Amino acid sequence: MLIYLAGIGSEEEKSKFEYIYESYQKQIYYVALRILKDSHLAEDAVHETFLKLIPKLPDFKDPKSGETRRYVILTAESVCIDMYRKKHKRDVGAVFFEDLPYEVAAAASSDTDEVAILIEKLPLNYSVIIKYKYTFGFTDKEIAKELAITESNVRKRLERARNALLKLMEGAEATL
Amino acid sequence: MILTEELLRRAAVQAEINLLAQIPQENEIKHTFSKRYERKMRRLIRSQRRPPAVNTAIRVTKRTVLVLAAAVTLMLATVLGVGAWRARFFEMLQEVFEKYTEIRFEITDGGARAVSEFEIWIPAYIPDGYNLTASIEHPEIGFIMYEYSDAYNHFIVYCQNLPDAGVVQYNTENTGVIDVKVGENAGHYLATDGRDVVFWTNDSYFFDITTSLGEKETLRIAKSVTKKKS
Repeated sequence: MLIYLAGIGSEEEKSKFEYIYESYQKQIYYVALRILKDSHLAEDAVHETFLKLIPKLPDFKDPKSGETRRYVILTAESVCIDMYRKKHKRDVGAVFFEDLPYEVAAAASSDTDEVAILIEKLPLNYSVIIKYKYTFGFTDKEIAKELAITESNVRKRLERARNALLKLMEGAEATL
Repeated sequence: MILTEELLRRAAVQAEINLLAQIPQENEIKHTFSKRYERKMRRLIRSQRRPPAVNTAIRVTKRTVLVLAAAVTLMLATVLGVGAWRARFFEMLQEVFEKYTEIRFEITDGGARAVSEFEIWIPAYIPDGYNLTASIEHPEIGFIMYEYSDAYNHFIVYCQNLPDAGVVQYNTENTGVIDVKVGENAGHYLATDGRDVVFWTNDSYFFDITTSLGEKETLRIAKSVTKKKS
């Protein structure tokens, strides 16, 4: 692998790429497999994720940080959503998967935990856009660039995500 | 409970933490990536070795996308057949998939030519009305591209590559690849998306030409490709 890294930008970027490639390749695959449920597609998703990450190398302050890991996984999720859409020829709306790709905790001990659990229950494209907006603090413009959609679509999707979350919250309160 | 921006922010962070906690560490995940994946990753990493000008040209010039053929649906690919032939310095393998044809180069025992030996070959014949509108010359990485256009925005794209164990793909959905002779060399012709492509190798290089001029004229240009006089 190292010989292929000879040409990637500066030495610093080369080192970042090497770390990210060796540290997250299988984790990206793991996430992709849980979402797409197909090993071949999941490998394609890993490749696509690196395609999206390479131009961002200069922006990674510390590839070993939790923030980098979060960003890598979030990028993988958005790649999977895109691949899922292409496969199912869906352009808009919520992307529901047969099963939720992750385990969701049953009980919450605070409002934050409760809403966090509900975010995890959202369709993946809604939870991903919420994470871009609220955990990374991206602007609509930056999210649009990340997801290759228009800013107006970002706003629409955020609104739908919020509304979906509110509905889940109403449902959760009704069951109390 | 009221969904405030602050609550949403805290909850989003918590949701992210919950998710990441479920993903095992890298060394705990037992998966051996397929050869196809390894090959794609090598290609991806190699593409980063190109000077930015080349990558930019590849990105912005959609016409060259066909030549360099990046956009294919790999996930639906089914291998239909494999043919191989040998040249002096490298081996060219052609794999025909359902929707595209992949040309793969593997350096043989003779070894790759030193980059310093790279010699530029150019088409001696270009039809009337076409002028050189773009050129990329990077002999240091073994890549040459010339683009010629006419007044009606028809184009001819010529590429010369030094095969370095790389891969080129052509969209061959709903079309076939026809064997042709380019001078003394074995070549191939395909028509796809309204474009005519001829590709071939000589002892040292891989060439391809994309036009919208039909097989005969494209082949004529291909046959005129000769070593550039210094």
